Order: sequence, then structure tokens, then C-alpha cells
Amino acid sequence: MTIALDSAQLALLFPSYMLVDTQLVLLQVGPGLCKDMDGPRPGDNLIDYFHWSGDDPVNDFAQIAANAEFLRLTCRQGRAQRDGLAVPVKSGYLLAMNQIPATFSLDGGTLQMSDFGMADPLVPGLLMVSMQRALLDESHQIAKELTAERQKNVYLIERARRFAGYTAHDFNNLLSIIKLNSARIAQSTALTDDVRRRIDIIQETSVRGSEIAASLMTLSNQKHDSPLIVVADDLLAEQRSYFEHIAGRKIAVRQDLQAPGITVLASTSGLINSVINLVTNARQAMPQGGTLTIATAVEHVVIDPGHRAPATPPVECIAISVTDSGYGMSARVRRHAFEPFFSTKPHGSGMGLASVLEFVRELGGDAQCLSSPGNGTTIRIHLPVVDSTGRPDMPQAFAAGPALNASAGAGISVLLVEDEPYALEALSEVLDSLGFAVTCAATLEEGNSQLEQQHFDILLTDVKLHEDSGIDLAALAWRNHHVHRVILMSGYVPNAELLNSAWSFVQKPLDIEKLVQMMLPSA
Amino acid sequence: MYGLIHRAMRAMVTETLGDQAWQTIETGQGIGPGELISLSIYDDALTMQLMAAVSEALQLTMEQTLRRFGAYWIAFVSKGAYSAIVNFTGRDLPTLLRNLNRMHQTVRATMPEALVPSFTVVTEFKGRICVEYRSTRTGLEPMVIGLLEGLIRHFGLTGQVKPGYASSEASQYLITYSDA
Repeated sequence: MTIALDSAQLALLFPSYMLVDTQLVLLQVGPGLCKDMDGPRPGDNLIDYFHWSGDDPVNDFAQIAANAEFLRLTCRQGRAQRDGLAVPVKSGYLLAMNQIPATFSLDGGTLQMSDFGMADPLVPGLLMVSMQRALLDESHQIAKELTAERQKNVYLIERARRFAGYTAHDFNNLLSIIKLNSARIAQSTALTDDVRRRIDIIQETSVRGSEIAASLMTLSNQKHDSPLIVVADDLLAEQRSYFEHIAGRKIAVRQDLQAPGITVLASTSGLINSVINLVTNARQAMPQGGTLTIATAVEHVVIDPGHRAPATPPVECIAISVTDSGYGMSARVRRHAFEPFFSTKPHGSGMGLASVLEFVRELGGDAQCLSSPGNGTTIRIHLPVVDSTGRPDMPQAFAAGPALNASAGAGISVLLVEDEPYALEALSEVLDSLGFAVTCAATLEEGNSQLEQQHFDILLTDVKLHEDSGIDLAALAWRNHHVHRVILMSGYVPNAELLNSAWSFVQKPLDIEKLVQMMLPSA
Repeated sequence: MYGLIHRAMRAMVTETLGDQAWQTIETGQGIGPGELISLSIYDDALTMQLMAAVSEALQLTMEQTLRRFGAYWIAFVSKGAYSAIVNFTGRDLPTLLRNLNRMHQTVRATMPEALVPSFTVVTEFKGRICVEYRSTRTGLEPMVIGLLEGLIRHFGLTGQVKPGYASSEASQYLITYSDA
């Protein structure tokens, strides 16, 4: 059978074909031959461009062609190859060759589909490998998108929880007023049965309201992690090898721990996670390697996240710093560094520093970023130092107090601080009726003033006093005025980290009997 | 159609109107990541439903949206993970058009249930190419015009695409182009 093909048809079947004479001088070349090599052109000799298994070119080709043997030509420049057959023709040999790409990848290559024969199976092979790579890229992208979505959801859930917490707080405050005032009315002796029945309805309804508030408290999940008294230096020293592992081999991790024995109240997992976040950020800021320093020190700092109280006194804190020798941040990046979802990394979630800040603020601390371009970055977190002597748990000590009567509180002076006027009035009257000597204050300032004027056995204060904190007042009364007992009230459970372990806490709506038992000396 | 089309729609909407606009479309159409898997085949009805939602978001007619999407599609596949395939198919306009069917054959080998269109170069002169488009789908002609316009732009050329002879089986497009 004889088949006649013109050069264009031949080029479609074998884009890298060559027609050579018996001395292997090129007479014609296909359009795909010179794609990944410089030459050859008609007039050149084949052996100047290719080599093959054999050392006698002219005789080799005669034998290969005669036996229809497989021929592989390897380019003398680079790794490109051509596979095919040498077919004897009148003028010499037709080398019907196919492209063999240097690598089985299209990335960065110069070959295109037309360089391969129409039926060359390499074409679908190469395309499928490229599609597989594209799909792998896509799966990585999807995994990142899902991670970002999950973190966004966690953030939204956290916001919902906080909202539930605030709602429960306000709701409990209102219920407390209703409950206290109905208790006041119930103390009156001249009540008709009908009025007493209505008071019972109000009391019962407030109890049901408390259950709703309790559900909101559960949703707010305020107590998701148990804080412990932690010696920060010990914890960081124990985790050193883990931090080194996270930092990677190119980064030298140093520790300079200068707060031996100093304790903070924090969940260990939360504290470790925060430092891991900082170490991870530091590693990403030093892709070529560098030095990462984890340091601690005791400092007196003003913790005032909202910058609303310029006169806030300094607090003794442990400062935990993570410093890298990376490229540092511009002023703009530094300003936004702690914002949720802000990231300079292509696929960064922007939640790392935001979660660190949230964690330390929940513990009554704060965080700051010190950085400038070319000078590395230090993230420093401050956590209040706590007493580790282990004072007795007050609620237990007062749990078994004497029964209530009209003179139960006789001889006990109480400073009652409550910013809600109706609640203040009702609670004051109830405590008066039990014999306590009650002095009322509606603000932190009034409370301070009263503390300056006289000594009190008990400070009973709301946690939230408008824009001020009853905890600050409690700290002052405890430290400077030596009140015997501090009892905090609130519609939500404050972070235990903020409270001195010697203080007591009672949740609104108030259970008067429980409150009074806490106020009376134990038997 | 296959999910890569949906991903390109998402990219076009988010680039034009922002992430929230696509979120609104996803919520309105009841879709999510499961409808954005590149090599999964989805019902054409879903794709056209999404295209209608995109059209509404962009405040364009369906015809304008399809044409715009056709042009965007070329830009989308040329810059992402599929760019190697586009380059391999052809590094100039005539070569790419001549090889489109070969590329689509591979797509069909990978996804036997995919309905891929056919593009045949009918005539080719310097600066003028007549392409015949065939598909079992109907109504996508504006997108084809957009695709061809996108290719002109992709190769840094200027030119235009005009619809030519059309029958119930095929429609032809005359591309005239020159170096920009």
C-alpha cells in the first residue's frame, strides 16, 4: 500500500517530522520541531542536534530503517526528545517523530497542542494532568474558604453569646426590681387576700422570667473555660519545645522569662493558644528565618481598653512579649493589627491577633503592638497579677448562716451601691427591715465618698455602675478601707478572673434570703 | 453545565459588586459550596437560574449578561489554574480557535456527561476568521460572541465579532481583528 501525503498533511500527523538524505542532512522539517530548541533547519546535519543509541550514524539509520526499529532522538541542547520511526524514502529517510515533552507538565512550557500529532495520546494526557493540578489548587482554595467561613461563624456565635449575656444582665436587673418591690409590698400587714394573691402572681412570674434569663445565660456560655492560678513563666518554659516546633527550623527561639513565681488567673489552654497565635504570626513575618523571643516581666500598667478613664491607676501586671526579627509593620497595618478579619496575608483569616486581644481583655488585661518597617514586631500582652495565697471561698463560709429575723443584721453597717434607683430603694428598705444599718450610694463617686467618711462592715455593690465598675469600687474598699466583706451583685456572672477570691458574688434577680446569709457572720 | 462556570460567575459578581452580592445570590438560589465544584456537572436549569440572578444583580438583560460573562470567562480561565491549558491550546487567536475542539474532546473524556460545544474554523485569512459554533444547547449565542470578544482581548488584539449565517444546527461568526 502506498499513501501519498503532502507536507501539510504530514505536519498534522507528525508536527516534528524530518526528511533527511542518506548522509542525514536535513531536507525538510516539520513546524513543531523547533519549538523547544534552537534549530535545526534544512541544510543542517541531524547529528549536530540529536544523539541516539549508536555510534555510527549513517549505518545505524540504514539498519533502523530496514528493521522498522523504534527510534528515540535526544536533543543535544536540553532534555527534549522525539520518538518515532525512520521510514526509507527515495531521497533518504522520513523521520516520523512525535514530541516528548521535557516534563509532563504544561506549566511554564512553550509547547502547544499543534506541536503534537492529531492522534497523539500525549495531548489528552497532558491536559488531564493539568486539570488534575487545577483541581488540587481548587481543593486548597476551598479548604481555605471553609476555614475562613468557620472562623467567621465562630466570631458571629461569640457575638450572639455576648448579646445574650447583655440581654440576660438587663433582664435580670429588671426582674430584681420587680422581685424586691413585690417583697416590700408583701411585708405590709394590711393586705387583702386579693392583693396577696396578685403579689404571688408577680413573684411567680418573676421566677419564670428568671428561668428565661437563665436560658440566655446558658446561650451566652460565659463559663466556657475554667481559669486557674497559673505561674506564667513555668507554663511558657514547659511549652518551649512546642513553640520551637511551631516556629520551625529556620527560626531561633529564645526565652527571657523575668517573672518567676508570678501568677495570673487564666485558662492554661487559652494562654497557650494566645502565645501559639503570636508565634505563628512571628514565623510568617520571618519567611527567611530569624530570631523569636518570648519574654516576661512584671510591669505596672494602666489597663484601660476603651481609653475612657484617664485617671485609671496602674495595675501590677505580667507582660508577656513575643518579638520577631521580621519585616515589621507599617503604621497603617499596626493600627489595624488587632481588628477581626484584618490580615496582610493573601489567605489570612485575620482572627489571630483579634482572638488574642479578646482573650486578654476577658482576663482584665490588654495587648499592644510595637512595630515599624524593617525593625521586627513585638506583641505584648498584659495580664493582671493575682494573689496566689488561696483565700477562703466566701460563699461556702457563709452558706450556713442563722435564720432571718427582724434584727438579724443588727450592728452591721452596709454600704449599698446600686445605680438603678428603684432597686436601690427596694433593697435598702428590705435590708433596713432586717436590722442592717444601710447607707445608700447611686454612683461609684458617691460610694467612694461614703467610704472616705466612715467605716463599713460590708460593701454590697452592683458590678455595673453606669459607665463605671463596681469591681473597681470593691478593690478600693477592700484594699484601702478594709471592709470586712465585699459582695458584688449583677444580672450576669462576671469573669471570675476579675474578682478577688475573697469576695462574694450574688446573681440578680436577688434571692434575699441567700443574700442576707452571705451578709451575716458564719456561725 | 460544569461547576467551573458557576465559579466564574461567582468571581465575576464578587469582582464587580463585592462578596455580599454573591452571598445574596447564593442565599436566594439556595446554593452553596456544593454547587461550585469545578468538574461536577449541574443541571443547565440551575446554571441559567443563576445566570438570571446574576443578571438581576448586575442590572443587565440576560443577553447582555451572557455576552459579558462570555468575555469574562476567557479572562477567568486565563489567569487561574486553568491558564496552562489555555496557553497549551493556542498562543495566538487562529491556533487557539483551531484547537478548541481538541481541548473540548479532552474535557469530554474527563467528564463523559458534559455537553461541550463545537467550534470549527470555516475560513481563515489574515485578520479575518469565520468560526462555526454548534451546540445541543440553545440560547447561548450572546455568550459565544462574548467568548470570541474575550479571546480578541486575551491576545492583545482589537477587533469585533459579527454574527453571520445561522441555521437551526449551527451559527457562524465573523471575527475581524488587528494588532492593538
